[in-house]
Amino acid sequence: MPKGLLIDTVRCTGCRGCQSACKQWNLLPGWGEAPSDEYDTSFSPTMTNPPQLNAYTYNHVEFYEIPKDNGEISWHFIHTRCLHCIDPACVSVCPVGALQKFDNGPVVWDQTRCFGCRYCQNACPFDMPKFQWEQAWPKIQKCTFCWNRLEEGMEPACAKTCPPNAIEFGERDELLARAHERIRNNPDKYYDYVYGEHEAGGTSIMYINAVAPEKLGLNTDVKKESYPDYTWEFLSKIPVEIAAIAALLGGTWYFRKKRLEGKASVTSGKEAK
Amino acid sequence: MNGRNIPLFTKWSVLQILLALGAFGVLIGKLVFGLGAVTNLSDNWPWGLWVAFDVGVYIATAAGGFTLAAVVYIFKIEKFRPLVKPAVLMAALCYTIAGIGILTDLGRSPLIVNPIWMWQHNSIMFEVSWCVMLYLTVLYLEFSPNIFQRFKLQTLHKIQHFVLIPLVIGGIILSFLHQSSLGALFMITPDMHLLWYGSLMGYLFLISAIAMGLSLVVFFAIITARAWKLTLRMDVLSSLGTGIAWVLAVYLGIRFIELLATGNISAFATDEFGLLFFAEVGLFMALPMVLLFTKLRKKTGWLITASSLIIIGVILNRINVLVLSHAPARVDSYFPSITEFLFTFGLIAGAMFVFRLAAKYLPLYSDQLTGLPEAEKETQPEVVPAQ
Repeated sequence: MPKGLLIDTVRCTGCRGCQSACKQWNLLPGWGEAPSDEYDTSFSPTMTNPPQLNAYTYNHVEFYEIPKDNGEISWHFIHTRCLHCIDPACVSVCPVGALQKFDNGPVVWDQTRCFGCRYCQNACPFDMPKFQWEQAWPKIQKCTFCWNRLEEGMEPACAKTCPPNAIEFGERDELLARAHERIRNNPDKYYDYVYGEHEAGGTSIMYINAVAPEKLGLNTDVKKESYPDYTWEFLSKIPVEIAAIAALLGGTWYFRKKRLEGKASVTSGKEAK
Repeated sequence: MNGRNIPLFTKWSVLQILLALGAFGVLIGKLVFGLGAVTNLSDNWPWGLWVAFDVGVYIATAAGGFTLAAVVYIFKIEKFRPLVKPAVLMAALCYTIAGIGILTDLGRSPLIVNPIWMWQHNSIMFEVSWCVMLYLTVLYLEFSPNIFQRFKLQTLHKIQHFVLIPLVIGGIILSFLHQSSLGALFMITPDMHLLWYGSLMGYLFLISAIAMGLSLVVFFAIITARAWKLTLRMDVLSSLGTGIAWVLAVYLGIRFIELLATGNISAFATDEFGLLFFAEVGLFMALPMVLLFTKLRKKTGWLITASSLIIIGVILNRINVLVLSHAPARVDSYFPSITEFLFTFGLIAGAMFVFRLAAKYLPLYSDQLTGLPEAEKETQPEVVPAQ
């Protein structure tokens, strides 16, 4: 059964333990070790650190300051990362099959296949795959859903470490039911929307929040359909089109040839007389 | 033994060599230091000028080759024969620089061959990579008689002649697939600007590539005739002009019908995207189309003006579809670095120099006078093709 993560941003305290745990498990460089100054830690104006997701930071806690009705500011924290779509655009567009979807949920990148075309970066509706721009032998990097931990029966590092249990690991179906139940039981605390239930045809990682998802930087313009269907419409017609063009061209060539030969024999016949 | 009208070193050809060497330097720089060092690309703008030209412009400019091959070899309209050989070479060179461009733009360049044994048939990019490899081979096989003639390799020439029609048909199918797939690459990004998005974008890419490819053939036919004192076949070129106008009419018709049918035309506003759309479709496509429908196409100056406008228009279209129309869904801005420009123009310049070499040393213009009445042949300046 496909696994999932439910991220409850109401519970999140912004401790960034998930960011650290992820770097530890995935052996990602931290401050001062990254290959370029660009990746060094620094604060965004709202105290997000580093300012954005990059090839050396698979998950990332973003801080949002949202004004309340009474004029006070409320602080919201949201853990961002690859959402591991059920039917991922990146997997469908990869020409060499370097991105693969595992049955139990993870979308994983295979370094022995990738040749670095970056079509996945273009196709991903959530802009999640990141590229090592400063490397001569670069990798596409993103959250792996700790597939190697799942294989050993462990939960992902971020979920394991989260002190307020804001990142819950489990079966996707159960998590979805739990999300709806929690919203139903606490209508004053939660905005009634499970982000990821239908986005891009559904994702393994889902969010429930205190405010509308777009206020926390979640892309609500993402279509509800599965993305690979957009190109399948074009690809599925190709075999028929090839056959039609080949028949048309072959036929034209043959009949034009016969016709010109016929003309030629008529003219030469006239000349003979 | 060679075309004595064609000088090897002029101020232009020296510039071409220098630019090509510059592009080679950028290629080395990329291999050693990575894409970040030579481009302004980022995770926000993963594709930029290079992709717009490699897979957009260079491939589109090659469309003259398969179109003229179809017209002459399949439809047997002999009138256009003088243009076929140069058009096929132009296509081969455009595909070659596209291949070099894609090689350089890949993060892990040496693995460019991976699609040969790593199949993923759900990916349009997989199809694109096979089309590039196969059609590049087909183009050089279509071009090969020039080399066989030059070096008097009769047996090879006969074999090539025997397989010519299957080659041409294969080339047309590959071109149809390739040109249309490039447009369809972006069907999976519905968050781009709607003026350039639609379910027919694949087919539109194919049709606009034909207009672009033929315009490039006309443009270079006029330029090279002037520069190298070849017979200028205005009789053939102006008829081709009418053909280009019809292709553009079909293109604009389909494009506007789709924009109206999907309602995407409502995305038109008087902002920078509206301006780009107006420039692309109005100034660089509709205007030259009208010019080519009138008698003005019989005048060399107007013909070259119209074909230049179309070339600019389709280049603009590719830049818009592949890069600029994605701006609404992106953060931060992107402007190509100087090395990106150097590489792009260096590839074009290198291809032009190789074309000059081929024109000088190969019988590229041996069909130049085909179809010209005997009386006119005598009054025309002499063509000096290589033997």
